[in-house]
This record gives sequence, C-alpha cells and structure tokens, in this order.
Amino acid sequence: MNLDAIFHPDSVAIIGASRTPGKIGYILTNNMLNSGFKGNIYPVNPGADEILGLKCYPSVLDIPNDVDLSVITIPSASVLQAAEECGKKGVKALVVISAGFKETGHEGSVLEQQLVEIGKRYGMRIQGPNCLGLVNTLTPLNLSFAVDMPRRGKIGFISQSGALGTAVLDWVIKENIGFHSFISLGNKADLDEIDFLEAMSEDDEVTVILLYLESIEEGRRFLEASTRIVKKKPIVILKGGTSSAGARAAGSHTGALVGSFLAYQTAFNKAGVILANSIEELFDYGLVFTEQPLPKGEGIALITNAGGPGILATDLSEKLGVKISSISSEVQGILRKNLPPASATGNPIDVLGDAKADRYAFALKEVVKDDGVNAIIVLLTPQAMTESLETAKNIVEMKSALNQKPILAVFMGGKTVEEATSYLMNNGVPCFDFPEKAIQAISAMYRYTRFLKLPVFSLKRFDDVNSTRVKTVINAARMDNRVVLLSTEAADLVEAYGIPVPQNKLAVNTDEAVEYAEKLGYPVVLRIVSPDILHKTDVGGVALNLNSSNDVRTAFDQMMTSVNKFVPHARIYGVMVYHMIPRGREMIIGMSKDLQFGPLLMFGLGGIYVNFLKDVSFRLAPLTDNEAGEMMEDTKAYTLLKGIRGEDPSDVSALKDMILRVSQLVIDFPEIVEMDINPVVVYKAEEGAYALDVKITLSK
Amino acid sequence: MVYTLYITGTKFSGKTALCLGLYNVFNEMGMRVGYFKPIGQGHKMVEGKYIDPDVTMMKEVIGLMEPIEELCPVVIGSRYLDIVSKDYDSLKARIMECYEKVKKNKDILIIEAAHTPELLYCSNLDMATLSKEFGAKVILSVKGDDDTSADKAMLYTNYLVQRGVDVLGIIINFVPFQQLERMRGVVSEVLCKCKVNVYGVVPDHRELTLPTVQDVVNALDAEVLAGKGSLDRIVDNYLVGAMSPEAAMSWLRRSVDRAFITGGDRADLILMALETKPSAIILTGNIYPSVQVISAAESKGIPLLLVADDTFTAVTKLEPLEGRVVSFPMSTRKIQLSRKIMSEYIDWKNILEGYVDFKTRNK
Repeated sequence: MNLDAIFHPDSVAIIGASRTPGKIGYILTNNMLNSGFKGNIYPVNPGADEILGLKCYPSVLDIPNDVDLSVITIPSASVLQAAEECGKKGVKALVVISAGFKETGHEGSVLEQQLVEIGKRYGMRIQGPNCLGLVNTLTPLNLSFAVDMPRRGKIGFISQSGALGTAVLDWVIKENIGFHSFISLGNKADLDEIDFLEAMSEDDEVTVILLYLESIEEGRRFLEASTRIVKKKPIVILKGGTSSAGARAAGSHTGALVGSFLAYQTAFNKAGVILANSIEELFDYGLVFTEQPLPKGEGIALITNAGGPGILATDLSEKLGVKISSISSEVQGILRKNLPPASATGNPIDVLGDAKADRYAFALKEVVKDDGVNAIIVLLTPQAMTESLETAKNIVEMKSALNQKPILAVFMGGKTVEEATSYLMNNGVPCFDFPEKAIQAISAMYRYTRFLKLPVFSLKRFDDVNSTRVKTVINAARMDNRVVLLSTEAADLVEAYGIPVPQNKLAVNTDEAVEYAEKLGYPVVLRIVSPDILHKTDVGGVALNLNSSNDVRTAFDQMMTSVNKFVPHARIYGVMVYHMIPRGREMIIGMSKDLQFGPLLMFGLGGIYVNFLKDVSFRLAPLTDNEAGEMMEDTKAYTLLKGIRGEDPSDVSALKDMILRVSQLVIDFPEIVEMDINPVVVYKAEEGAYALDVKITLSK
Repeated sequence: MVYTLYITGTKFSGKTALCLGLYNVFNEMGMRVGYFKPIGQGHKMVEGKYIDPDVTMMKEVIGLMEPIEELCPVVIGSRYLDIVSKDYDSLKARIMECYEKVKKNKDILIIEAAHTPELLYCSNLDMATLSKEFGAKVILSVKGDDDTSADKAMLYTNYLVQRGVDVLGIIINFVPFQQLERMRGVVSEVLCKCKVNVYGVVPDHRELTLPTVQDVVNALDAEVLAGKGSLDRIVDNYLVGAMSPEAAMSWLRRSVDRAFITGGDRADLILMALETKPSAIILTGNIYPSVQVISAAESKGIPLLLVADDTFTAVTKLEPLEGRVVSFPMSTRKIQLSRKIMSEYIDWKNILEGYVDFKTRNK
C-alpha cells in the first residue's frame, strides 16, 4: 500500500495551527519546524496571519501550492468541513488528531462515518481520528506531541494507544534506540494496523515492525497480510487485553470486541508473528532484530566471568528451546591451554572473575571459530579486576570478525557498567542488564529464523465431497427456522464430506424405532433428537446396547418420559437409531468460529473427559497436512495414540484425514459457526475412525 | 340479533389469543365484531383500580372504541370473595348494563372468560351463569399437554352442559411439538367418541405468548440505553452471562431470540453478545457500560437495557411475563402469527355455522 503522502509528504498543512504556546496547534507547528522537515509547512487558522514565522492561511483552499498531507487538530464539529476542503484542494491524506468521534458515543460514531465517506469520495486516506499523530525520522517529520525526535533507526512502531506511543518515544530517546517511524492508530476509522504494516513492509528502511494492539477487527485480513510480510521482515506484537479483566478493560475502552487470546496466539503462530509479553520485551526484540543478523543455525555460546549468571542463562535457554552448543574439542583445547586452569571451557565458558578485557577478547575470538556456535552472548559482572568499557570496546571491534553471527551482551550491575552499556548500544551491540532478557531476545530470533526455514506446505483439497448434500441439509434447517442441526442432520452433513458415521435413521415413534433397529441389526443405540438438548446423556436421552425389539420399545418410552421431565420445553423431533459400534479410543475434533480469525479447530482427548483434562490443541483453518499432524502431536493423548507398553497404535492417519476434512468443510461453509465431533471413535491402525456424535450450529 | 361467543378455558390456555384471532377473522369477513370481558383479573393497581392487561392489549391492538371500563366492567384481585358477595347486585347490574352497550350494533360479540370456568361459582357470577344471561355459545380452550387433556376437556364440557350451557365444542391449544400427533390422532378421536366437537388442535406457538423487549422494559422499569427502534422484538427466554466470553459464545450462538443478562462492566461479554443478534441485552445492577459499548450496541440496533435490580431479582420479575399476549407495541410478527394460527389450525367456519343456525332459528 502506498502511504507516501503520510510517510514522505512534500508539503504539510496544519489545520488548527496556533500562536499560543501549550496549544496542540502550536506544539505541532513547532515540532514540525524543529524536525528538519525539508518541504513546505502551511499553518491554517483564520484568526492568524503568521505563526512561528510561517505565513498562515484562513483555509486550506487559500494555500497557493499543492498540499500532500493535512493534519487536523480543530474541534470535531468543524473537522468535516475542513476535510471537505482538503478533498477539494486535492490533499492526498489526512492525519486527524482531533478527538470527539467514535470514542464519545453514537453521535461521534456517525460523525466518524461521515469523515470516512468524505475521505472515500476524494480518495484521501485517513489516519485516526483521536490519534497522537506520527513521527518519521527518515523524511524527517514530527507530527506528534513529543518535543524531541528519536535518533534515526530501522524500527517501525505502530501503536493503538497514542499515549503509550508518546511515552515510548520519550523513553527511546533516553535509551538512544533508533526509530524509523512511529504511528498512532487512534480510532482506525480508515487506515488500520494492516494498512501501516503493508506500507512498512514495502519500506526498505524498516527492518522490524513493532505493534502495540488491543484489538484486531479484521483477523483474516491481518493473518493473510502478516503471513506475507513476515517472510520479508519480522513482526513483533505486544497484545493488550490478554487476561479476562484486561479484555474487559480494553473492550470498554475501545468499544471493539477484543476476542480470545487463544485465537490471537494461534493466529500469530500460524503467521510467524512474534508475541512479546511486555513493552520491554517488545523493544528488546526490536533492538536485536535491527542491530544484529539472524543466526544461521542452532546453538549459542555463553561467555561469562561468573558462574551464577551463566547457569541462569543456561536454564532459561533450555526452557525456551534455545540450544546451548557443545564447544568443539579443538576450541576447548585452545581455551584450556590459554585460560587459567580454573576456567570452564565447556558451555557456558567461564573466563573467571579476574578476567580483564583481553581474556574476554581471546575467548570470543576462539569461540567464534567454532562452526557449532551460531550466536554468542557475552555476560559480564563487575568484579574487582573487570574492565567493562575495555571489554565493550573489544566486543565492538570483534563485530566484523564474527562472520555474521549475532552477538548480544549482558552487562550486569548499575553505575559501574553504565558507560560500557552505552558504548555497546551506540555501536550496534544490544546490551541487557540481566541474562534472562538476552536469552528471551535470542529465543525470539530463533523462533523467527525457524519459521522462515519451514518448508511451504500446500493445502490439500479432497474431491470426494458432496457440497450439494451439505447445502440441502443446511437449507432444511433454515426452513425450519433453526440454527442448531439435529444429530441426524449433522451426521448426514459430515458424511457428505467423507467423514465416516455409523449408519442411522430418525424414528418418530416406537414402531419406526423397532423397524429401523431390525434393519440396522442389534445391538442398537437410541439417541434423542432435539435442537434444544445439548447434553443428551444428562437428561436420559441416550440408551445403549439394546438387543431386542422389546428393549427398543421400553427404551423409547422411557426416553420420552425422562426427556419430558428434564426439559419440558424441548422440541423433540424423534429418536436417532443406529447400530452400536465397538469401543475404541475416544477423541474430539471441534471448531468454533472466532469472530476475528475465523474457524479455530480443536483436537484432543474426547469423550466425557474433554472438559476435565483439557488435553487439546488448536489451529486456525484451513490446515495443511503438516499442521494437522502437529496439532495431534501437540496433545498428550498423541502418546496414547501411538501405542504405549505394547498396545496397538491407533489409526492416526484416519484421524488426520478427519481433521483435514473438517477443516475443508468449515472453510467451504462459513455459515457453520460451531461444530463438535465428540467422540470420534478411533480403532487400531488401518481400521479407521468414526464420528459418533456430531453437533453443528449455524450462523443466524 | 347479536351472536355471542363465549371463550372460556383452563388457565393459560390461550383464550386471549383465540379472541384476537376470531375477532380478526370475522372482522375481515365484513361483520361488525365486538369484544367483551365481563370479569377481568388484575395484579397491578393503576390509579387505585385493578387493570386487566389482556383487555388493555385487545383495546390497543384492535382499536376498540369503547372505554376500558365498558369492555371490562369488573376487575378483581386475588382476594375477591368478600367484595363480590357484598356488592353482588351492583356488580351484576353493571355487567349487564355494559353488555347491553357493547353488543349494540354488532353482528358478533366475542366474550372472554376469566381464568377458569369455575371462577366466582360461589358468588354466582361464574361464566356458566353469565353465559346463560347472555344467551351465548361457549367454546372451551384446553391446554394440550398430554393425555390428561382429554379428561380435563370432558370434565369441563360435562360440567357446563349440566349447568345448562350451550357448549359448541373445544379447542386443544398450546400443544407441544412432540404431542401434536397424539392430540390430532388419539385424543381427538376419544373426544369425538364422547360427542365433543374438536374445532382445532393448535401447536404451541410460544412466540405468541412471549414478551417483547418493550414488555421487558416495562417489567423491569429499565432505562433503554441503545436500540430504541427495536423494542418490538420478541424475547424467547433469557441467558445469564457470568462465564468467560468463550464459554458464552457457544450458548449465544445456539439461542435464537434470547435476551442476554449480564453486568454493565462486562464489556467483553456485551460486545460478544452484540455479534450474535440477541433480542436485547439487559444490564443488571445499575452499572453503566462505557459510551463506546453503548455506541456499539446503537450501531447494531440492539436494545441495551439498564436495570437497577440484581440478576436474580430481574430474572424473577421476568418469569411471569410469559404466557400472556401482552405486548405494546404488539409486534407485527405476533399479529401475523395469530392470523396464521386461525387459518391453519382452527375450523372457524364451523364455529360460524353455529351463528347461521342461530340466525335461522331466531327468524
């Protein structure tokens, strides 16, 4: 997406510019003047002739030259007129800082809608309203409230919270972290996170995109865009509202549904987006991605002057799946020969507390040569002999000799390492104050590189499916004004997609039930058919192992009496009669359509234990063959399915086939909003799996 | 000479709905139809008097010209025996006076009985006594729950016949889905053998007796924060939301026409519910949601009701709403449904034949 008018405008009009210090219109004009912006700045204010030495215009229409970008800071009631004038003037984009829109209630919502319509009419893209503007160090321009600009860098930062963004800007200046741009999304009336992601992905000056988001309204579009962009550059997201109380607060704040964190996590994993757990992590990750190359292979080396930090770093590495290299015997030999005898030459490499800068440099020089080492973390604690600044200088000097292996530093302590830390940070070596942060950052780098290395799996489509049969079932339910399918209908529907179900019939009275039982062969099962009964067993709606016509008659009458007693208002359509199949392992395949990200599939241990053991895993449809496999492997039950202690393995491929068919079904029929196959009965390898009870809910 | 049809029946057996349906059918035929309810029952006092909500509804929906005191001259509360026996003469006189007024210039007068046929038997103002005074023909409505409906129908019919009442026949009403076949087959046959006319077997159209959002607003004295344009939606049951949004989703999706009850601070649940088209969202405990949440409801046109009661109290107050055709404004869906029931399930032409017989007899 081309958002050049926002990122690199040639001329900017400030509508609502002011001569009064302290007013937003003044701050913006002043910030623009101080930003080093090379184009024209046009203050617009009918009450002034000149602002901060710039000629002021009564309206944007009075500006003699072209205007690329207008920033609007006047009260919301006047914004529409100003936007209309901008449209007439041929302005390409608007940044609306003014508040008083959707966030204030229904009238504001209507106003915001009108603003979007004006934008559409004139082909103007709109950032905001109710946003805190933007900063771009490349152009450069500063249309934010932050007085100073961060140093030029390669981090693009998009924030749904404007105030958080402004605070972060202030902080990165102090920390001397380089920024490419900062975008405050505001109400996302027109341009949203996806538009800015797209724009930043096409900008070669951005190497990593950081986002702070509370809600994503168009999950599928986000998933599609981020999957594409992640292949070019990493995306790191800090998601607000991940807890239930947080989601409540975020929903109340934005009026947008925050959605389930589970769906976000699953979506981010699918797209290869990296999730940060705190603001600090977000910027730590941003820093390592911009300052350091990606590791080429697994295996890191830790060089430390103290045992404790080395051990802590090792512990966390293992927990986060970061491999600690075993140092080759050649390198270990050289280290042993040249370092004091008490040093540890394995990994972590302990150069001991009395190590000066030269010992660190030596160890680093030798460790780099090891092909099994693909990233290095240098840990330093200030001890009596430690030369922190010298060590820092040595690390920076070694950078070119590292052969594109990433290096991170951990200089623990406070005052004594302050200078060394700044030196490292200013020279492109991310330096952390505690080992955990460095390990987390390197683990994020590994997560990203592993994702990039994943082969591309293509989606497999089954051709032996009968869409017409599915449509017929859905139409029948719609005609009956139902959103919940009857169990017989649901079984029919999944069977049309090649999912095996036991042969069944719907009986409306005792005689029919007996007739079908005789036809299907004993033993049979009777199950109540009603869209109003969710848990059939609980209300006496299931009768198993019926061996004669007498059994069937008694069971039918008992079932009617019992169901009537427990759920008197339930609409009873009859009873499903099916041949009882032998027992096997009981699994569950489910789907709930997430409002943002679409069909979220679930697989796990089924039957009555599903709610208690919660041994389930999730993926977003559509699934590749590989994802379906991973989904099964994620569960503990998979160990059981493979067969333990001499048990026969289960038919895992039949299960995978069923998962993939469900995935295709819910993609082909978006009106299916909830689905549960519980239990899926799976038999020994090659003997197949059956969908025993299928529940399906349609959209309204 | 006016043809008077007296509709009586067991408690909550759909008498008001029947009166409304019959009124419309006859009216559309070009007849001059009237409505009268000699004894009403009220629970709520309005300006020191009991008001029968069924009568108010009929007056509003049909647009009856007569004043409410004329359409329903006597309204009793739950402690009625002493009052009725003390004022018997004047009450009786008032009923007869109003009856004379209401039936003037009418071809057919539909009279709705009080709750049960036996009501006021002790005081000699029961429907059997009155129907003889009016010279009315009686239709008995019986709730078709199960086989016992046949016995109940028989008991009341015989009782009325023995009291000398002219019983036309019965209507089996509110038949649950799973009992329909049985009522049409076995039960109707048995009654036929006992010489009881069955004019219709009407399936349970719960919609007809379900409250609208406006009824809920009235019952809970709720403040409507959003969705004022959708207060005529029907409310079929309630769903109380205190669970996680993920758990609520599945319930919300399965339910059609439900009202969702939760706290105003549960923005997560409210926003999720808005996606599943509930009839209304009821916020209990007087907790205002944020303006953003109100705005989201407004843009979706879903009523957002704020009530002072806690959830339990609110649900308790909502329970008695069901079972009456009380609705202001009467939803168009309900009116259409009432017509559908008349045309599909009730043999009203045969009911009218009684009228033709009656006319010839009186010539």
